[in-house]
Amino acid sequence: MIEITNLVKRYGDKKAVNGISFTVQKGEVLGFLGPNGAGKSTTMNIITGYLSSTSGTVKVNGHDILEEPEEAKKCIGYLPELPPLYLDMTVLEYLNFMCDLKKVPRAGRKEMLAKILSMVRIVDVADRLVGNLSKGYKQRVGIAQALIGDPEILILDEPTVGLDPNQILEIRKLIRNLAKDHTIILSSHILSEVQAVCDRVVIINHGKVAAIDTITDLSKKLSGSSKLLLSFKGPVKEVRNALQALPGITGINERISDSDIHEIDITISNEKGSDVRTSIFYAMSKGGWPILEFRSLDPTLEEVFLSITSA
Amino acid sequence: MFAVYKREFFSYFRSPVGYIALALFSFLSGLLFINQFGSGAVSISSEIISLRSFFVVIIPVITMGLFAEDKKRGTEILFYTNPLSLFDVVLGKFLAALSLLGVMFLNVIVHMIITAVNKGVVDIGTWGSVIVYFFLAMLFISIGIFASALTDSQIISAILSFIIILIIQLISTISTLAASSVSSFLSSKMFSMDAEKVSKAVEKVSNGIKWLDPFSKTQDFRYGIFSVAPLVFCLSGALVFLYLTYRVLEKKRWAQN
Amino acid sequence: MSKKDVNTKKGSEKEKLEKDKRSKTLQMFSVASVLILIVIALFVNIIFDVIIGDKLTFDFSATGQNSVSQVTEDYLDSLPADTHVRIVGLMDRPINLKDSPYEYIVPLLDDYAAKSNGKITVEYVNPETYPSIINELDPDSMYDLTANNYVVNCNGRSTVISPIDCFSYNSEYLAYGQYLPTGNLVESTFTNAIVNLTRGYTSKAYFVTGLNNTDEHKMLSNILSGLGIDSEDLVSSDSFAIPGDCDLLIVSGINIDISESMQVAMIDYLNEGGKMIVAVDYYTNATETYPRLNAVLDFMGLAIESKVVYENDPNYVLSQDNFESIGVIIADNSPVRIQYARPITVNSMHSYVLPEGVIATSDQATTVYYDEETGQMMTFANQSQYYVGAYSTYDGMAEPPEMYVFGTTNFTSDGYIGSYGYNDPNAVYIKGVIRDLVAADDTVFVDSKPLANYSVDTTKVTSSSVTAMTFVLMVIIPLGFVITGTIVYRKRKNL
Repeated sequence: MIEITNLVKRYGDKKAVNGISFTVQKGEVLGFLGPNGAGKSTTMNIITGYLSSTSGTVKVNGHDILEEPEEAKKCIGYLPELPPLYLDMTVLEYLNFMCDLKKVPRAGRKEMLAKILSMVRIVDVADRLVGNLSKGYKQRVGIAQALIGDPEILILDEPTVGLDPNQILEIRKLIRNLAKDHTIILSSHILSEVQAVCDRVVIINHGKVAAIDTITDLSKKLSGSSKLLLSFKGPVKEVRNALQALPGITGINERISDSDIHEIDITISNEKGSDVRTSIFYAMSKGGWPILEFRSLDPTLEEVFLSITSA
Repeated sequence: MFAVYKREFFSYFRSPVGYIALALFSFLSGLLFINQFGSGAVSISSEIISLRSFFVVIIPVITMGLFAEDKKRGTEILFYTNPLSLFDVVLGKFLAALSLLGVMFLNVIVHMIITAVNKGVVDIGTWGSVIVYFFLAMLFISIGIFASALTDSQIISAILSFIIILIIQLISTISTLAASSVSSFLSSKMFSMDAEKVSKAVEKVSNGIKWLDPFSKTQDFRYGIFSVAPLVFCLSGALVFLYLTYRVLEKKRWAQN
Repeated sequence: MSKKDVNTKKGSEKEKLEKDKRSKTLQMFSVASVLILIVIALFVNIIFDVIIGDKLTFDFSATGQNSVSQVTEDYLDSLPADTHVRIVGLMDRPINLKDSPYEYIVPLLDDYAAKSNGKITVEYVNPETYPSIINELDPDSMYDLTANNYVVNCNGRSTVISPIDCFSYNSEYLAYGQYLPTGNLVESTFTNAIVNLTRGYTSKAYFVTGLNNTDEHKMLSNILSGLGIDSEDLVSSDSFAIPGDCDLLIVSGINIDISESMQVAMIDYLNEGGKMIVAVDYYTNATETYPRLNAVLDFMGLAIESKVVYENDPNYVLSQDNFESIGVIIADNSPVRIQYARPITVNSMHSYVLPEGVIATSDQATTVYYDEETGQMMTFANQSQYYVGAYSTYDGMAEPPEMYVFGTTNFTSDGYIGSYGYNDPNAVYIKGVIRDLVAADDTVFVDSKPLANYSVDTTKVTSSSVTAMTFVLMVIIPLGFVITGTIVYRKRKNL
């Protein structure tokens, strides 16, 4: 569990981080979003102990990073923006060095490394020189390094940068697997990735927290309520009446009206537990009106992001 | 600390650097030894002392990359985000450089064996010179490490440590220069002190500066006269520089720019 | 700026000050801790240097340098209880011993006094403050007593020892115009003096001088003295005569030939069963053929040639100089060092003259000579073995003459013995030769102490061994490192 309170980091006159606070619960996957220069990497560097904040506190599993640095760092596996790789070592040599550095006991080391190598899919380059690897492999070695010692908390700064789409999918799968018994902070530019993997999202802008919530709640907040788009064949007025009668529907707007095909926006109120979509289906089916398209109109994370950060 | 030491020491041998340094050292020390042997008398002490004068070149070369490279490569972050103290890191790198010097020194051991086999003398003074060699090495290596931590350019770090070590080697010359300039300064119309006071003050100044010279402090060891004070000097000097390095590294965290 | 802006600015500045506190305190802590450490370091150093200083200094130097050896102790114990040996240093007692020869003399003399049970006293009397001391020690003005020397006085006889005599020197090495001491002979010099003064010499040797001798034979005199043999100079002159008490006549390092009267005197001496050692080399005296000296040698069936040995076997050549080489003692096949050596011919004209070679070169040596006209060294003979040392005696006589002839001065010169010390094979050999010729009592022989005498077994320093070593140490090993490095680097590059 990570608690960050009022973090401030000043560089000269400028404040790179200006009062950031949030908490990451155990077992959570937190996404860290923000435009370039917002302070994401700085914040992550402060959490892991690379930088020290001008003011504010960071507590990792109850250990203050300044007062009990060793205990705090023992819990963290960190993949920085630039993976810290020794180019003159082979992958295995490097990972063994990281084991030494993190004080991983010798017994069982071989099995652990084998496990990590296969998790991150770098088994076939295990004896190659790190400096000779492609960017994708290098990135994965960096991820491997963060996993050494099986730390409870993983902090990953743009873990999939430089990877091809296949590799990206694999890493996302890996992160989802790890999420089962790890606490993860993930920073990324790729919104779809954050959407796919994270439970909650922190959006940072100009060194401040601009928004912090689950993705669904965020987009709901932005739009105010949920919206659905229904495209069907049938008489508009009748459909309208039928649907308006359903509980939980607060508004229906017509979009396009053609001879045959109509598109309407249906606004749903945010009532707990009401999944109106099933009742709409049954209503349409009862009326015999074929559904051509039926989708959610909630703002994507991208839209949320853009609107928040352009402000 | 052992992790850093192991990595740093082996990295000397993963690139040509370590081997070239070893080859050069073997060649040089071999040259010195054979010159003596050919003349019929071999004093290993004087070979060791001659080798010492190459510290000004060897040590910047082996220490220049110790911190500068980490900064450049981005691996410096490992030292801050893992559960180890920065001082452990400094110590590990220090010992790695010292170990490399130790490996180079095996050449001299070979020479000692050859001398002994040929009924030459390897007396207690020789061992004194060995002790002095390593203590001075400790002092200079700590200076080299400090220089390496100050910049991310290996070349600048090498130049910096070269200059500092050179100054130390020239302390006695510097003290004479200082003495004469202080003397003329004090005798000038500004102060117009009388000659005796001037010479006393000058002596104090020059002695003060000379006191800092590790070479003159340790010159008796080659005669078999071992004294603890000069060793304390070298060790404490090394500690000061290592601590300074540690603080420079710490500063990076708190930097406001 | 509006009031609001000013206030905000002031507010943010205040904020700045508050938040800067943390880093400012840390900065101060950093600087302060470094300064404190430096102060502590200086403090500790000053304590060690000034206060504890000398107490933590341990002198492990050349063991026994400040104490007398068992040999001397045993001899002192053997002296009668009423022996009184007075050692007087004609100087004020030296206080600053470091880096001066007195470092090795003063403490050692104190040890003599301590271990002698009162038989030896040591005192320092400066003749400039107390001029009467000279008269006291030398009432008959027999000795040349000058300040800064030591006088060993016993039974009315004295021996003068100068601090310079107490060390052997490497004459080839001039450091700041001074000879570099290579051996500590303090104990051997003083003990020899004490032995000879208390026991007296058993024999006497005479050195022929005045013939442009290369040196003053100090080292050889020391060796003789250690063997209980007194030595004195016999200056060449027209009225040259060999005293009746001459047990051994030494003609060493002469550069011009002896005179006719000397030739006659020497042959007479030999006829009466005299013993001689002759040593001449081929260096500054290249043009001298020594006809009269050879006439004396001819009496013993020996001759010194006017050529110099040029060694060709690399296993024998020393210091990459073919004129410096290894000579082999025929009796036991052990090596000695010879230099600019004249070959000795062995030629018995009569059956009762028994000359034989004792030291020889390899069988790949040639001889060359210096041609005055061309100024060049010309080869004379083909490769073969030459004698550079020979011995001869007569058969069938009760007291036969005996002679050792050496074509090199490496057995007798100050230059050689001074550089290589009394334990060098050459010095050991000449000691044997002397013992052979003159029955000598050398139970009290104190070896020189290792004062930074770093010479190696010089017979191993042959041109071939040096070349081999150069090759291994300066070529193979460095190359080995470079090659290993290249291989490792290449292998890893492609991993």
